[in-house]
Order: sequence, then structure tokens, then C-alpha cells
Amino acid sequence: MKNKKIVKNIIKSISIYLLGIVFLIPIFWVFSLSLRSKKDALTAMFFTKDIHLENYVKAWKTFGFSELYINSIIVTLISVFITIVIASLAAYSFSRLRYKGSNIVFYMILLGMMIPPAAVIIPLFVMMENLKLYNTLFSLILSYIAFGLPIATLILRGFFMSIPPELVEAARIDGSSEIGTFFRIIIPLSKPAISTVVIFLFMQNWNEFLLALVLLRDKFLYTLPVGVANFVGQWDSPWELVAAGVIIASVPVFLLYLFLQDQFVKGLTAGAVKG
Amino acid sequence: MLNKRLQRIGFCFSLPTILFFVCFISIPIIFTLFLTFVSWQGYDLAQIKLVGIKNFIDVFTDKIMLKSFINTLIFVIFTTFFLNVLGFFGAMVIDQKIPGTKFLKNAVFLPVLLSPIIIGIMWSRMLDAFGILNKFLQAIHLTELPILFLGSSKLAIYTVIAATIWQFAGYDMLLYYAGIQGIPGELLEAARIDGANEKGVIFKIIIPVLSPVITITLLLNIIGGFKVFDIVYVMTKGGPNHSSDVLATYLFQQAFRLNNMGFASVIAFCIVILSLIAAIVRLNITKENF
Amino acid sequence: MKKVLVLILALIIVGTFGIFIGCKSTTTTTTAVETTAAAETTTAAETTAAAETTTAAEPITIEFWSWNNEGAYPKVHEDAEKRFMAKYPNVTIKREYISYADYLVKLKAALSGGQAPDIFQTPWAGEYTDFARSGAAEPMTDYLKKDFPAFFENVMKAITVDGQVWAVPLDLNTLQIAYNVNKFKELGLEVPKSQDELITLAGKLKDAGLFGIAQGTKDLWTGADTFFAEIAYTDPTHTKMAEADEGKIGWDDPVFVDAIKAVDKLIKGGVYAPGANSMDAFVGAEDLFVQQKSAMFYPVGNFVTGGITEKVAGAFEYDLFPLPPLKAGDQALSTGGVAEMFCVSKNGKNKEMALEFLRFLTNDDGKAILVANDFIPSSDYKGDMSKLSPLYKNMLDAQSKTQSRVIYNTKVYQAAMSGMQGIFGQELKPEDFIKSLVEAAKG
Repeated sequence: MKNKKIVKNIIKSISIYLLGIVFLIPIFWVFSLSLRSKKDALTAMFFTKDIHLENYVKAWKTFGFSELYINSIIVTLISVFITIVIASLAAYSFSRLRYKGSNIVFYMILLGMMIPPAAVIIPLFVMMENLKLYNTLFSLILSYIAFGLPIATLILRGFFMSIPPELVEAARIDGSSEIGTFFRIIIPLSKPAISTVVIFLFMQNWNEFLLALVLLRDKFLYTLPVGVANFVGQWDSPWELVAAGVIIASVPVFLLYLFLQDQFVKGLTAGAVKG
Repeated sequence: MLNKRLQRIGFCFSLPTILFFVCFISIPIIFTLFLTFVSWQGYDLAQIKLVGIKNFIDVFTDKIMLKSFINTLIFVIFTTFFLNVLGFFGAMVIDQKIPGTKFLKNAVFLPVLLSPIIIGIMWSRMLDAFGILNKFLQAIHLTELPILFLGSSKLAIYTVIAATIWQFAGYDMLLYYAGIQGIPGELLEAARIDGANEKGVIFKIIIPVLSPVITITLLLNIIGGFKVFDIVYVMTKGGPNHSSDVLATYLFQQAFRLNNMGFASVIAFCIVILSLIAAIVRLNITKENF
Repeated sequence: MKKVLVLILALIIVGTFGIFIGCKSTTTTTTAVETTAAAETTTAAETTAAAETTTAAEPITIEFWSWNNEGAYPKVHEDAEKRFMAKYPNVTIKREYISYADYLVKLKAALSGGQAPDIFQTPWAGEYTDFARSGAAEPMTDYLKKDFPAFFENVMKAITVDGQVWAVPLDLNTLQIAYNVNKFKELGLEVPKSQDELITLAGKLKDAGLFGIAQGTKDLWTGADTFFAEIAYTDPTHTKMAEADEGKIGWDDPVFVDAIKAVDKLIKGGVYAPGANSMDAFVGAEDLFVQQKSAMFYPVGNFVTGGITEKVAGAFEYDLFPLPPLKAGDQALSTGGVAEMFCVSKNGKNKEMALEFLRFLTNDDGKAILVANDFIPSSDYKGDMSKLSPLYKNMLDAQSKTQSRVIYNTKVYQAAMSGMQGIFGQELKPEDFIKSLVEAAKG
């Protein structure tokens, strides 16, 4: 009996591993592309015997990755941080400090999620230009905060609603100010939800392309997505370098996910999931 | 309702968000709404001309608009359905305590973290008439002539849908997985002791308990589907011959190739209204206390 | 309370950092792609001793936008920049290359926000007319009479909109079919002299396991060019396309109907490699040719010969021929037109200097470097032509017989491009293609 179960589990395990590998085939393909020579770039099928690890170094230098990375990090870290601060305050007010009309405000914020970015670039651009923020990383930061607030508020609100109200009551009775309660009790308890929001926002902002393309004029301000896309020429692109570039650009997001994944799941469990 | 003082504090808490929203979201929305009534090429603000409802008439009598709308609906329905089904069963699979589930979880989620532009370029190259997938199919003698995944009017939109499902299956899967973690173990134990089989457990217990998860996941998928742009644009640009155009790609073409800002703004509005309707309908169907 | 203060302080620091970084000086000069010091704001444009110049001595920056970030174009631009800055050391040319796919989006946003670059490359179809009519571009007709070379007449005619010329043409190109000389010899094939011969040729290639013309219509424009190439034959007067564009005649004129039917005949005759709609113009399609799976490739002009030669790497020899005429014995014509064309922003602050730079691009030195890189100048070049490659001579020759490939009406052009995808995919009938053009012309 037991052996049957063990065999069954082994088969299950193997199929699960296989499934994972098959699922990742496209990514392996991109990886193989990044290792090819220029001649083989599009002709080779999968992995070639000729491996060119130096494509990564070449891509780094040609695309100017040092600068791209710095810009992406500045924009993403700052926007994510500020978004979380602002969104958590708002989410708290939509769950534990509700006021008249707070539900309507909440739904209004959610509206932000439904807007196609292509529709707002021109008005956003004109606005940034009038605020004299065009061609600054700041314009991107502000835009990313605005567009990240809906999902952040959604997840955090859900999470806050699962925190027992008695905790808050107890703090109030103890004479704590609202903001004190917020920072000293709610936030520490919310690590999982905050991790979830960090991952979602990081992913969204790190990969964002259209706004970065339009709002950043000078090359030395480019973030990673724009920097890499800029090398796709009209007639000829260094595909093997672009592939290497794509992989270099994606590493931080993936590392962040690996690092925070347990918290991430916990946050989703309580936050997005309980509505 | 809380007392007045706490309400006031609550309002202060949401003030920064409201400010951001008003500045960076409502103003562009209002401007876009204004643009629906004008004729404008988009180059010089001084050249805006009011034309009443002409843009609306143009949009609603446009054949390509109809095609884009239908394609968008097809996109939303197929992606939402498969993402949720695959996500749910994927979550059940990775919930087991056997080796390999963590690897699968991360493998499936990895594409979610990538930029849709990269995904689009990756799949376009692989699905080329002479790309790796066709070569593979020919090598195992499944097909003789290359299948034009992205080049055939009939297949193009479904190919893009498949790539999207590949990218976001992990997203839904993780949401459901998290939801399953939240189900009290006793509930499942009790059901099993009572003699329910696996199917019964799934349908009578797990799904009902997960209903808030299902609501949110469906909502996120639907909203995302209505405004999808990047992956379609990179894989097909809406072609061939508009056969895979969705609302957002058609909007883009109107705004940036045909310089028809008024027309494009009407399309933008349609996208927002459709998402809104979907959200309202969804929330009302389940009467969720959302 | 303390935590709040710390938080606010952190926000202020972070915010200031962000603004500081964000408002990085926009007057830095960065022409090279790789820069190392990123976070420090650089000071205003470096100025060398500005004493000996005839123009104003304060530092001026001229912004120059182009999408030709590959091949030899950057070299050509850089050469002009060097010569220009030798004469005007206080003026810096800031060259920005934006990838073609995103160029129009970025330019449009910049224009609508009042932040146009001083000089911007313009596509030379509908967008050109839009720039002209929207007032984004400065009318150039009068300027071109001052110290600019005498551009070819047919070029000037092609870029005249509403009676004015709105851009400075730099170089020209033609579109022809590239063919694998080795394979042709091997199979005993000759360059076809008529389209019927082309169809027979394709049949023989198929028997040998090769595809005919590899053409990628995914990016839309190549399909329309095939249509134009046919019109060059169905309309011997070579005036009807411009007339239809201006609305003087309809797109259902027999010359257009015949043209699209001719394309359809070629496609049905198996002339093209399968999957045109799923291939990018220069990625998948070019690849088929380079790998010798397809014996021909369209469209090829000087803009892509460099890349092809590099990729072929001597594996075979290739040459060019235009789309053959409908009747054997007629003259073979290619289509072509202006390649790089630059508008000067109407609201720019340094128009005189911008024009001056354009003069450096198009003067005799500029022409010499164009020719050295296999480009065809837009005005007569009287320099040494003896060392030119046979391929270049072929293209130069084609240039003298080239016909138009422009539809200025954006809606019609879009409809033509989209419709051609339908034709290539054999999902659209020629009559319906014509109908869509007529519809678009009404809009």
C-alpha cells in the first residue's frame, strides 16, 4: 500500500518538474538567444555550440546599463515607497476609519485601474510640461504613484479589514493617537500585505514603458524598458544583445520575488483574497 | 459610523491619495472626455476645434471599431476563463506536499514578472512561420506546412490570447493558492471524514469558501483584459489587416498614426465604461459585501 | 510621534533626491551611448573658447532627432557634426536616436507639449503632411534657395505639400528585389523580364525546394510598396497616384484596379514565400534570404544592403532587379523616394543654426561621405564615382528611373497597408481592397 503511494508521488513529482520546465521553454529560448553570435542570432534553433557569454558584457556597455539601472532603481524605489505610505493611510481610512462617503472615494480610486495608459499619455504629458516636470525622473515617479495607488489601496484595505478591531480599540483606550496606532500597531502587523504590494508595484513600475518613453526626453534619464527597446532598430537589431539585455533587466524583479515570496503569499491570502 | 473626530482623521488619511488621484488621474480623464468632442491632430493645443458628437457617430459606425470591440470581448472572455480555470487547478496542484511544487510555483509565476514587451518579442520570434515551434511541429510530423500563428487573420488573436494566458497563469494561480491557504484545515478534514469525495470537496467547500478570491481574480482579469495593449501590439500590431485589433491598439493607431485624437478619445472612454460595467455587474451578481 | 517625524524627514530627503536627480540638467552634451557617471548632474554645455566665431558667442544647443540608429547613418550625421562644430565651436549638436517603432509617439508628445526638437527627421508619408499642416514644421522653400544645393526636381516635387516644401531631403533610396546570384546560376535561371516570367521562375524555384520572394508584411509598409511598384507599370503617365491622393480622381480608377489584380496574380502564382504577414520586414524575411531558403527578397535598397552583406558573410553573391514590368520588353522601373528628410521646428529658438547644420549635412562634403557609405545624395554629386561597388551603381541607376511610393492621405495609406496584409494573406479580394481605399478617401 505504502509503496504504491510513494510511486504515485514520485510520478507526480516528476510530472510537476517536467511541467515547470516545459512552461519555462520560452524563457530558456531567450536565454539561448542571448548566448549566440550575431550570425546565429535568428537562425539557430535553440542552444548553439558557440557560446558567447561576452554578449552580456557587451549588452551592459552598449546599452549603458549602469545608467539605466540607476534610473530604474531611483524611479521604482521612490515611487513604490511613497505609494505604499500614501496607499496604506488611505486603505486604513477605507477600512477602520471610515467616514461618510469613504466607499465612494474608494470606488473612485479603483477607477484608476481601468484606464488604458495610451489614452492618458498626451494629457499627462501636457500637464507635466506645464508643471515644468517634463524630462525629469520626477514626472515618472509621480505618474507611477498615481497609477499604483488603486491596486495598493485594494490589497491593503482588504488586509486591514482582517485585523481584529479589538486591537485598535485597545490602543485607543490606552490613549494612543490614531496615527500612532497606525504606525505602531497596524503597520508592523501588515508585513505580508506590504510585501505583496511591494512586489506588484515593483513589477508594474520596473517594466513600465509607455510613460517612460514619452516623459523622458534625454537618453541619460532612460529607464530599463526604454533603454532596451531603443536598440531595436528599424532594419537591424542586435537580437542576441537585446536578449541578454532583457535578462539583465529582469533579474532584480525576480530576485525580489524570490526573497519576498513567502510574505507575498501570506499577504495575498489575507489581503487580496478576503476582499 | 465612527464619531466625528475619527471620521475627520480618516478623511485626512485618505487626503494624499485623493490629491494624487485628482491631479494625475481625474484631470487626464476629464481632458480625454473633453477631447471626445473635438477634432484635433494632437500637435498644437491651439488647433483644437469643437465638433459636437461627430466623433461618437464616427466611432459607432466604424467597422474596424466593431471588430476591435468583438476581439476585445473574445480576449476578455477567453483569457479570464482559462486563467481562472488553469489558475485554480494549478493552485490545487502546487498545494500538495510533494517535491517539485515550489519549483513549479516559481516557474509558472516567473513570466508574470516580465515585461509584456519582452514576452511579445519572445513569442513572435518563436511562433514565426520558420521559428522554433513550427520547426518542432514539422519535425514530429504533426504538420507539413508552417502554421501561420501570427500571420493568419483567423489565428492571430487566439495566438495572442495563448501568450497572455502563458504569461498570467501564474498570477491567478498564486491568488488561488493564497486563497486555499486561508481555508481552515478543519473544514476540509470534516468534509472528508463525512465521506465526501475529492470532487465534492472541491465543488461544495473550496469553491464557495474561495468566492471572494474568485470575485477579485475575475475582476482583475476582466479589467486587465479590456485595456490590454502591450502584448497585442508587439505580437501583431493589431494585424493582419486589423484581425487582431483590440480597443487599445485601435486607439493607439487612431491617436498616433492617424492623428485623430477625438476618435481615439472616444475609444478610450469606451474602455473605461466597459470595465466599469463589468465591475458593477460582477459585484452585483454575487452581492458581495465588497 | 518620533516615527512620524522620521518618516516625514525620510520622505523629504528621498523626494529632494528624486527632484535633484530628476531635474538633471538638460543642457548636458551626451552624444555617446555609454556614459558612466550617472547620478551627478552635469553642468551646462561644455563650451570651448568661443572667441573666433562669426555668430553669437553664447553656448547654443541644437537638438537633432532621428530614428536611424543603425548602419552608417550615425556616421554620416557625426561627420557633419564634426565639420559643423569646427566652424561653430559654441554650438553643440545633441543627436538623439529613438527607435523607429517609438519615434512617432515620442515626437508627437514632444510637439504637443511645445517641446519640439530643433531638427527632427520626418517620415515622408502622411505624417509629413500632418507636420506641415499642423504648423509644427517651418516652411523651407525660401530657405532652400539660400546656400543649399540644388535638389533634384522630382524630389522637390514629391515633397511639396500645399505649395511649400517643409523639409530638407538628405538622401534617396530605391526599392528593388534582391536575388541570390549563385542559386540562379545553379538552376540556370535568368533575371525575369516580365511578371509572367517571374511566376514561371518561382515555379522552377519551388521544384528546387526554394521559396520565391521573401517579404515581410507584418510591419505593414512593405505590402503597400508592392502595390506602388505595380502602379508604376499600370499607370504609364505616373501622375494618377498623386491625383487620387489629392482627390481629383477616385481610387477605383482602372490603373489601381489593374495594379492590385496584378499583385494578386503574383501571389496566386506562388511568387512569394508563405507567411508574409507573420514576418517582420527585415527580420524573418531577410533571414529566409540569408539562409538561402528563399532565392529573392524584397524590399532592398541601400538602407539594408549593408546589413545583408554583413549577414551573408560571403556565402553567396547577390544583386538587385526591380519588379519586372507587366509586358516583356517594357522598361523596368523601381519605386523609391526620399530616405532621410529633416524638418526644422517652427517654434525652435535657433532656427538659423539648425539650418546651418542642415547645410553641412547636404553640402559637397556631406555628399562625399554619403556616397562613401553607399547612400545616394539628394542633389547632384560630381565627385569621384570610380570606386563605387557594382551594387551601388545598380542602385544609382535604378534611382534615375524611380517612381513614387507616396500616398499623403494618411487614412488611405493606412487602408492600403492594412488591405495589402489581407491580399497577401489571400483573405481579401482585390475588389474589396479597392473599396476600402475609396472608403478611406471619403473620411
